[in-house]
Amino acid sequence: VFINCSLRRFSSEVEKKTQRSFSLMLDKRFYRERKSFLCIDGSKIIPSEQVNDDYCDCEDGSDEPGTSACPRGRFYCTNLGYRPHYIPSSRVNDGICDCCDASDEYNSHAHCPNTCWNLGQRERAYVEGQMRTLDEGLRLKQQLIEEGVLLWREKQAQLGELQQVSEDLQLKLEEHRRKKHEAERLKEQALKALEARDGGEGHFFFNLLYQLKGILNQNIFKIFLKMRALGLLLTLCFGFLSDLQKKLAIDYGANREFLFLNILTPFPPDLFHSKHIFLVWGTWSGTPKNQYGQMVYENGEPCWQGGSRSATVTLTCGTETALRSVKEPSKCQYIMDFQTPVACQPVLKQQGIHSEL
Amino acid sequence: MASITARMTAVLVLWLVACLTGTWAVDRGNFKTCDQSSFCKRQRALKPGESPYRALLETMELTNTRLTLQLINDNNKVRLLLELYRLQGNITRVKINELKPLKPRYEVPDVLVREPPTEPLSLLSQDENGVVLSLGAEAQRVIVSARPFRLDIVEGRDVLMSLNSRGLLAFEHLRMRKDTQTEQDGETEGDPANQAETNKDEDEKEDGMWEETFKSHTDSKPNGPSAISLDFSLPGVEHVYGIPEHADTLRLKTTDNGDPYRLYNLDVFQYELYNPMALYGAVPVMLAHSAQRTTGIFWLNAAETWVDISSNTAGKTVFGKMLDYVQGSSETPQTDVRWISESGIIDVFLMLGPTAKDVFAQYASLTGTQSFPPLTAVGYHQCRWNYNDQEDVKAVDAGFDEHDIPYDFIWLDIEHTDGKRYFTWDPHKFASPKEMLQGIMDKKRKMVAIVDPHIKVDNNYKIHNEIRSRGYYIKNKDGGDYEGWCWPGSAGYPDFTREDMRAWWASMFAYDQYEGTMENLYTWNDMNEPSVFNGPEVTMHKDAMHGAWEHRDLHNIYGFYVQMATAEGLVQRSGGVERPFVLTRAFFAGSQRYGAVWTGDNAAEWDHLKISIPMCLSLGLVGISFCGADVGGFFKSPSAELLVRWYQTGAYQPFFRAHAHLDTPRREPWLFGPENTALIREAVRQRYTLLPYWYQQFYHAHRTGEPIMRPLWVEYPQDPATFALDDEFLIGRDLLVHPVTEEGSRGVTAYLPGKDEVWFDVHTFQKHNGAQNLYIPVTMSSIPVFQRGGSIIPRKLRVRRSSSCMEHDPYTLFVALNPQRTAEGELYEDDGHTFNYEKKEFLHRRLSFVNNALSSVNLAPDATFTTQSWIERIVLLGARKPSRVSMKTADGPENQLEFDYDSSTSVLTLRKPGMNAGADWTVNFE
Repeated sequence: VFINCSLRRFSSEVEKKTQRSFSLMLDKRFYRERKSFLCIDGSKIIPSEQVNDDYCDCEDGSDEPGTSACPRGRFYCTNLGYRPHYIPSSRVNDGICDCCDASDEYNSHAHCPNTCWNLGQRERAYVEGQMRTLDEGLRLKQQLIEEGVLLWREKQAQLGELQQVSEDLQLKLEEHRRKKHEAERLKEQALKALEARDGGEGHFFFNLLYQLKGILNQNIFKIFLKMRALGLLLTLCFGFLSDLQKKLAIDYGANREFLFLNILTPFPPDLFHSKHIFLVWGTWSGTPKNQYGQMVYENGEPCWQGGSRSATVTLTCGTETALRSVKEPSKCQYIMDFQTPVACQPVLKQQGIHSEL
Repeated sequence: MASITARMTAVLVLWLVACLTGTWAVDRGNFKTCDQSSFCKRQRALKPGESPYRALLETMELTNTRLTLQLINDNNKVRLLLELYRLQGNITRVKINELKPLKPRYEVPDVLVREPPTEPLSLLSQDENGVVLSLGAEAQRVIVSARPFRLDIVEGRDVLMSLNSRGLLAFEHLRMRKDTQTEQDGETEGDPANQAETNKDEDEKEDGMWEETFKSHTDSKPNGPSAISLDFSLPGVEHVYGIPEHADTLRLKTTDNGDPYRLYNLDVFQYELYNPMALYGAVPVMLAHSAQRTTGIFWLNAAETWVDISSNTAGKTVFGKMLDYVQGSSETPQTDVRWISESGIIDVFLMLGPTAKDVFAQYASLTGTQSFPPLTAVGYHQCRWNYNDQEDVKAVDAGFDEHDIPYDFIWLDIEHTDGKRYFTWDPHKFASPKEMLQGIMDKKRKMVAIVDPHIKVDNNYKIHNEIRSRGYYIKNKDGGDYEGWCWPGSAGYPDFTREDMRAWWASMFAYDQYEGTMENLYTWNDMNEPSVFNGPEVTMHKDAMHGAWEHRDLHNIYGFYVQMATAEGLVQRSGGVERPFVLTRAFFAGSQRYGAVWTGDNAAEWDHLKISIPMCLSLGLVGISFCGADVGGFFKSPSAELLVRWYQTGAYQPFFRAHAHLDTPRREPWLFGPENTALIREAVRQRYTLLPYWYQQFYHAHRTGEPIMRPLWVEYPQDPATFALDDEFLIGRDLLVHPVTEEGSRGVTAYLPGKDEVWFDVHTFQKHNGAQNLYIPVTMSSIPVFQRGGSIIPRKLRVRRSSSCMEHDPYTLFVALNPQRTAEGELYEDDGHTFNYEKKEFLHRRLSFVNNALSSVNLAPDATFTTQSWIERIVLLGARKPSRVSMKTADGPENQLEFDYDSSTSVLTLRKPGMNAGADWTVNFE
């Protein structure tokens, strides 16, 4: 009931008879007709002349909504034509223009122009622009989601292929292992035969066996070489596979809309791709409402004099995908602003509409 | 046996400590010990009781204002000239120089504010053993003993101070180098007649008299040995203080078992605590205190100086002292000090008190008082190496508003310049400095940008070209411009000892010279020891030349001159209207006249927080009141708890600035969660409510030279329990602060002095009796602060964005009654930023509560100033409930005042008395 009512023309000995407005107050009749005022926190009753008399009576500051007297007080800027808001009481009559309607500087040397209309204009233009961006962004995002779906399938297919290849390789390897085993068994038998005939029988037979042993050895060696080649291929294949699996395990958003970043632009996790790993993908770190609004990179390249590089990347809605700014507030700790249609969300549109003046 | 064990233990502990702390702390090997500084080693090797000096009484000349007398060294027959002056205000000056030096010896100019006015001396008696002179009207005499030479200053039957009583006066006379040839030439000399002398020279060489090497640096010493030394005995004294800057306790320790305290301005990387090593600044002033008297010694010498302290009671346990007392065998306690300087003359001012405040006045009469800063400089300062660009500055500024934390100054360190070329701006990061400054000005805030005295050697840099073409650089021993390595790489060092150089430097701060500056930009002088990265002990070679003088002669005063010239520049750019604000790291006696000082590159450690108290107290005692330590600690990263505690401590120290190293994570007040933000906000707000009191303290310091942040013993000189306290302090007379400086603290024990005093907790208004150790339980929000009963403190409770925003705000008077139900205080106000207060444009009121009436009377009837501020509230602590309260102004009718009485705390609050702060008025309590 008390919120957003505005009160005008309260005069007191200290104040100029300036029009001021404030809320968090009771209505006009309350002041005019009642002789006393109850602090909003209920802590104290004061005579109504002591409301806005430039002396703080209530702990909660509720008796001085129009002056700077209370340390915990708030002053309401009506800001007609722009957006209303509260400022701390300490900014009333401090010589600095805070409310665009100049209402906070009713008794100071500051000459504050009323800038609400201009601000409102600019704000409206800005919001309009934002809305256009949002529309376009959402359209692009939809495309990207669709592309993402294709990409995802493609990647899944790649994954399948790789898995198939690796299975094939494993099978082949197994087969060769078996062959090698067989060859070795044969060689063993030949050797045993040689040993048994040792010292007697014919020279011819010995020679034959001896040649057989040679052939068998060669065979084993060939199999061994093939196995080595297969092993290498398999290692490579596992490497690709685990890379791909890792990449696919990353949370690319509800509709995998962030997948494209990985492929279309050198962004996560390859944004800082270089010989050294400059930054390593950490995690999404947005608010619960906007989980994908921010991400964190950690454990990057070691920094001179200890620590490792890290970055906090904020994603904002835009029609292009681009890094808008990089800051380094502390050494090797980066703050980045990344614009992309993917960050555009329909919910922003509602907010935008709400903020329209 | 016991003492040997004790020493062994001490050595072991020291070794252990060294091992534990050695991983990151100062590299001690970079800095000389006394043994490595040849003159110190030579002088310290002298044995007491063997003084070769004799006064030649027949040479005595006594005029109305001065006594002169020759001294002779019986070993080498070199004569010295002693001059003795009685100065106004109970000061005796003793100068000793060579009677006929080979060339002039350096006498420190520009430190004394004027030639000190003298008082007549008169001869009381004389015989062949000595002379007795009367020192003016104070019943003081000075006794000059002839053989060996000795000076005693006596008052009544008490010896106040004796000079050369231990016979350690030494004066290395200037001499020709016997062997003038170079070493190669020397080899050709085979004449046995020269053999003895050659040997002697070699001895001298070994002593480092003609050349000295430390690490890879050789000091050429073309003038040979030139050290001076003198000892002082202080009978009855067990406590000596001062001689900053050292990271040590307030009470100076005896130095018998280690190095003397060193005074040599040095840029010490990651300094260690609790030792006598030299730091960034030097004030060669020592105070001696006993329950009976306070005296001071001001050793006016700007060369490298070492101070030895010994005491006949040091090392004695309390039991031992008691035993002495019971047996009646005790000698009087006595402290002996000894000053050793590398060159120059002996020029010493004996400030004879008798009270601490007299000593402050005496020292102020010699070197001046604390400059009166603009009010805004007393607010909170936000600094970091570095705020990266204009956008960063804007964001930090906005952060303070968003979190409703007041601040007055935002600071830019070296990265704001174009390649460390001072007086310039980085063209990309700070492309439109005026726009940035205007943005800050719109919030009624200010900025400080750093200007260091090392100038990049770069032919495309205007400042360098001008200094070079005018010949203003310090020269190396071969006559070329001295070049050292510092932030910009190769750099020259302007010769600030030259008046014409200083005038030129000052002119560089003009708005049309220093482009992009506006009136809300002030200056910070860092690295002015001077710091030379590749020089000996990270400073300048002693054989560098300032005109005819060696750097050796004046090293400690270089930083003083840098700040002097800079402050002058800020005054001049405003046409002499505006007060300057300049922060310096290096300083000397007299630096108080030019601005503020901070304790240099400390660290984010609890011990560094603790040491900030004795370090600033020591500076305050020798005139430099505007002192602070980097809040949060410069190196390393503070925990949230340490940061909060540091804000709480810093809020109650004169210079309140947060600062951080480039390599540390951000630590603006709102980066540690909402709870810590609230704690920091509250600490800063407490500072701002007290700004009227702080400002009044600065005015007082400016007028009297008394320290703002002062040790308890200054106000309670007869209470030995206060003599060594340095974990609590007073601001002015009326506020006692015992900050929480322990990690995880649940309580502190504060000593509340004065057996007839009461103290009021400023937060709870609870009353405590004096002369007790009070245990105060603490939480994270606690800052134990007490207001003395008998005082009145004005505050402004409407804390706003910056001090300027609070200019016209009303006052709340906190009247704390003493047991006699009286109280007294002052209220001072002026425009807050110009020199117009010198033209009597200020208001200064005395507020007093006596006989149940509180009144305001004009302390400066000839001054004029109109204020918009009024009295919005009067809070009486320790009050009784009145039946009626009425107010009477000079020309108004009597008004009845509303009031509110809280019987549980005995606090009486008067609602909105409403009178103008400059008016005469009386409030009666019935």
